[in-house]
This record gives sequence, C-alpha cells and structure tokens, in this order.
Amino acid sequence: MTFLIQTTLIYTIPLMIVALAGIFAERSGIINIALDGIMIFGSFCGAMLVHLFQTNNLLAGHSQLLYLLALLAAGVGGALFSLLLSFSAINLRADQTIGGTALNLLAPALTLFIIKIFFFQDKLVMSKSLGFIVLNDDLPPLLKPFFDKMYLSTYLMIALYIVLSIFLYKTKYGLRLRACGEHPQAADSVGINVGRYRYLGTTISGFLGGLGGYIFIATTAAGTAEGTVAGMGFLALAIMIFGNWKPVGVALGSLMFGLLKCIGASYSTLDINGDGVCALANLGMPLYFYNLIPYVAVLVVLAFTAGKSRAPKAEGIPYDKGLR
Amino acid sequence: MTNWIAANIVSWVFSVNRQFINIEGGKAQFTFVTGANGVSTPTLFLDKLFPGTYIDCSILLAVLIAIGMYYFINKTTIGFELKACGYNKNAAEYAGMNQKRNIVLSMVISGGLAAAGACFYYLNGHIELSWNTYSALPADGFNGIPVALLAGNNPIGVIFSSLLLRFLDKSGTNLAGFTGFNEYVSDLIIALIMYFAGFSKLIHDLLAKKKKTFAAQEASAENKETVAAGKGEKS
Repeated sequence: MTFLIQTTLIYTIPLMIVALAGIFAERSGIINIALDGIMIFGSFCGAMLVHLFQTNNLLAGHSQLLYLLALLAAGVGGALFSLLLSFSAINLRADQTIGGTALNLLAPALTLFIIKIFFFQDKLVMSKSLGFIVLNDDLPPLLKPFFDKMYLSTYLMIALYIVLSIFLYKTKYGLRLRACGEHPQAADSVGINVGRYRYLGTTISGFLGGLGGYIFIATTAAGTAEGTVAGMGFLALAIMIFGNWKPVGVALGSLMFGLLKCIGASYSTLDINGDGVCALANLGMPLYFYNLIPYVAVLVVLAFTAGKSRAPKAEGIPYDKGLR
Repeated sequence: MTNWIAANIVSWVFSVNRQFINIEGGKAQFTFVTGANGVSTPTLFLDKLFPGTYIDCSILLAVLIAIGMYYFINKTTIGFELKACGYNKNAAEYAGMNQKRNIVLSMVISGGLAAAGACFYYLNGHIELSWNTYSALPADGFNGIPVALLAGNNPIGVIFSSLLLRFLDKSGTNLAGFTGFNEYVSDLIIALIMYFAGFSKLIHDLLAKKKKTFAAQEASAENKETVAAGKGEKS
C-alpha cells in the first residue's frame, strides 16, 4: 500500500504539472501541442546542469540543492524553448499546430544532436548516486507513505500547483489571461495587451513543462535524457482535456491515471491489504491487460463527460484586431 | 489514449501467437518479415528499374491513392461536405449536412489511410515489426503529421512532401555511416523546415498586401493618366 501510494504520487506529479502547463497556454489562447518537445528540452537542460556540476565536483554534498538548481534550469530552458512557439504564434500569426509540431520535432533532434557532439553517445545519464530522495525513517505508519522516501519536487510541485491555480482564478492577472483565451477582442477593448498576456501564458506553460520533463526523467526514467519522455506531453494534453481545462479536474484526472498506471506497472507484486497474497497476479491476465486499463478508463470517462467539456473559445486563432 | 490502447492490443496478440515472432539469434523482439514465407508485396517491374533497393509496387499504389483522395476531396459531394464541416460546422449543419456523420466518416477514411500506410511499410518483405509496441510507439505515425502540414493539407502535395522528408531522414542515417556528421543533423533540418513552413501564411499575406498596394498605385496612376489625357475635353 505504501509503495503504491508513493509510486502513484511520483508518476502523477509530472503529469499534473505538465497538464497545468497546458491549461496556462490554452487559457491564454495558444494551443500548446509542443508540450512534449518542451518537456524534452527542459529535461535535457536539467540533466546537462547536473552533469556539469558533477564533473566539476561542485555542490557534491548538497544533492537537494543541486536538485533545486536542476529544476530551475529545466524550467528556464523550457520557458526559453516555448518562446519559439509564442514568437511564431503571436508575432508572426503562424498556425499554432504547425509551430507546435515543429517544436516537437526540434526538441529531440536538438538535444540528441548536442548530446552526440559532447558525449559521443545517444543518451546523457546522470549518476545514480545522486540521492535526490528525502528519507524519513522514524515516522508513524500513517504519514509514512507521504513523507518517507519522497522527492522534494513532489511537495514543491503541489505548492506550485496551488499557487498557480489561485493565480489563474483569484487574481486580476489570471482573469485577464483567461479573457485573452475566450474573447481577445473584448479584452483588448478594455485595454488589455493581448499579445503580452499570451506571451505570459505560454512562458508559464513552458516553465512548467520544463519542470515536468526534468521531474519525469529524474524520478521515473532513471535519470536518463535521451530525447524522449515516452509520450508524456501528449498524455498530459489528453489529461488536460479530460480535466475540462480546469486545474481541479486536471489534478483528479492525473491522480486517477497515475494510480491505474502504477497498478498496471506493479500488478505482479502488488499486495494491497498486506496478507501476502498478490490478488491481481492470481487473476492470470497478461501484463498488457493491466497496461490497457488506464487508457481505456480515461477514454470511457471522456465519452461520458465530453458533452459538458468546453474549450477556451479563442484558442488556436491568431489575434486579429480587425475582427469583431 | 487510443495510441496506447492499440499498442497494448498489438503486443497482447503477438505475445499469445508466438509463431509470428522471429526468435532466430535470440532477439525475439521482431516479427518475421513477410519475405520469409514469400508473401511480400509484388515488386512488378520496379526492382529491375532500381536494382539493389527494397522498392515494391506500393509506391505506385500510394501515389494512386493520393490522386484519388485529391479527386475525392475536391470533386465529389461527400468531399465537399467534409470540407464544409471542417471550415464551419454550424454553417454546414444549417445547410442540411449531417455534421456528425461527416466527422465519423472523415475519421474512418483517415484511419483507413493510416492503416494502408502501415501495410505498405511492413508488408514490403524486408521490414521487421518490433512487436513490443506497448513500451515504445513506432515513430512513423507522428511523422505523418508534419508531412501533411508541410503539404498544406493537399493530397497531391503530400506525395512530394513525404518524398522530401523521407529523403532527408534516410540521408541522415547514411550521413553518420560515411561522414563525420552525426545522424541528428537531418532531424534538425526537418524540424527547422517545419518551423519556417509555419510562416508561409505570413509571407503569403505580405505578398498579397504588396500586390494590393501595387495594384492600387497602378490604378491611381492610370486614373491620373486618364484625367491628364482627358484634360482638354469636356465630359
């Protein structure tokens, strides 16, 4: 049980934060299909920083500080990368889907190109002995799943998620950002700079995407940056639609997906009530069946709730002052 | 979602039906190629034209399908309905088209074409299918999107854009083998081509604007001329 909760949290956090990234971009009116690419580039920036620090023997004893720095580097890298998308979508009014697809192609190509030049191999592996995990051995059993053997990023990301949700719904900047995604002409008529708010939305999105990418490779993918995040970005986009472009829905969706995914990944050794019997393994279904469940579940829920879902009205449409 | 559902089902089916898996050399991650028991796609005369390649008649079929799709979208009623629903589904509904049927139909056609692409590729007789798709999806599905976008969603354009992108892709792999460049240069080039292809609308608009102002200038100049020519006359 402890193991299941922990793995679920580890898997859920990047998904949730990247889906939140999607919300920020789409609520400001930019379709951010480039989330996958942004994740890849962010993860590469973080891994590169960690590698540089390790080879120069800097911060050797302070692994948590190094982790924080790497997260920051990943976020900044993602934000810079997303500027390419916002520049083409806002300043040049290019098709946002084409720009996003191009960035999805660009990110793995660029990262692998650089990795190949500097390391003569196809992947950049961070040292295993990083010790990013926070250990708290002496805890009551109730708190253990949430505070023992956890990553610092889990708490940080939950805090960031709450802060940004409040920002989006309770501050005037959040209101203006959402207005730019619903009716930019109306927003402009009351003096809001639509381009600037769209830049803000996409840059926050890029920052979160980069963070999510680095958390994914540091926690789930064994610290390996190899130009892929296993389709996480596209999954996060689906979770965003699943959550109806709202932070709460996204959190619930990613939690459900993460839980089912972790059950699928560890079904053979999963022992929920602790009596030594692996109930799921005794069912005799193949691995693929359990892997199917999370996707089918999301699809089924979507089929029932899709009628109520509402995308931001102006997403994907370049802002044109001349239109009504 | 459906990506991974399909990937898991494929892996499941192959894991149950082990007779399709090539276990020679202890690798066991690929299926048998269709050439193994002689059911590969016929090569017609093309293998004589291009000796030493894996070419077969599917390239002809693919071009035929592309031309057929161009005809279907631009010259038939159903194709027009599909396009109308894409541009403005409310207007299409208002004009009496069954919007939902058209969306389903377009997805059915798209699925059929994607499956045809997979058939052409994997039934060639030399291509191995890595059946453990549940852990990593084949990249070719996603690569179809840039091809379509680069072609500007024109079926005839797809023929040339797919040739260009595949040419760049394959030359990249060979680049690593024979020169000092690494193979990701070609991916980089493809990505940059895609990124700048997105700007085509801007350039198009700029050109149109220039043409317009040019035409306006010309028209005003012409007006002046006529006025100048007709100065002495009473009109």
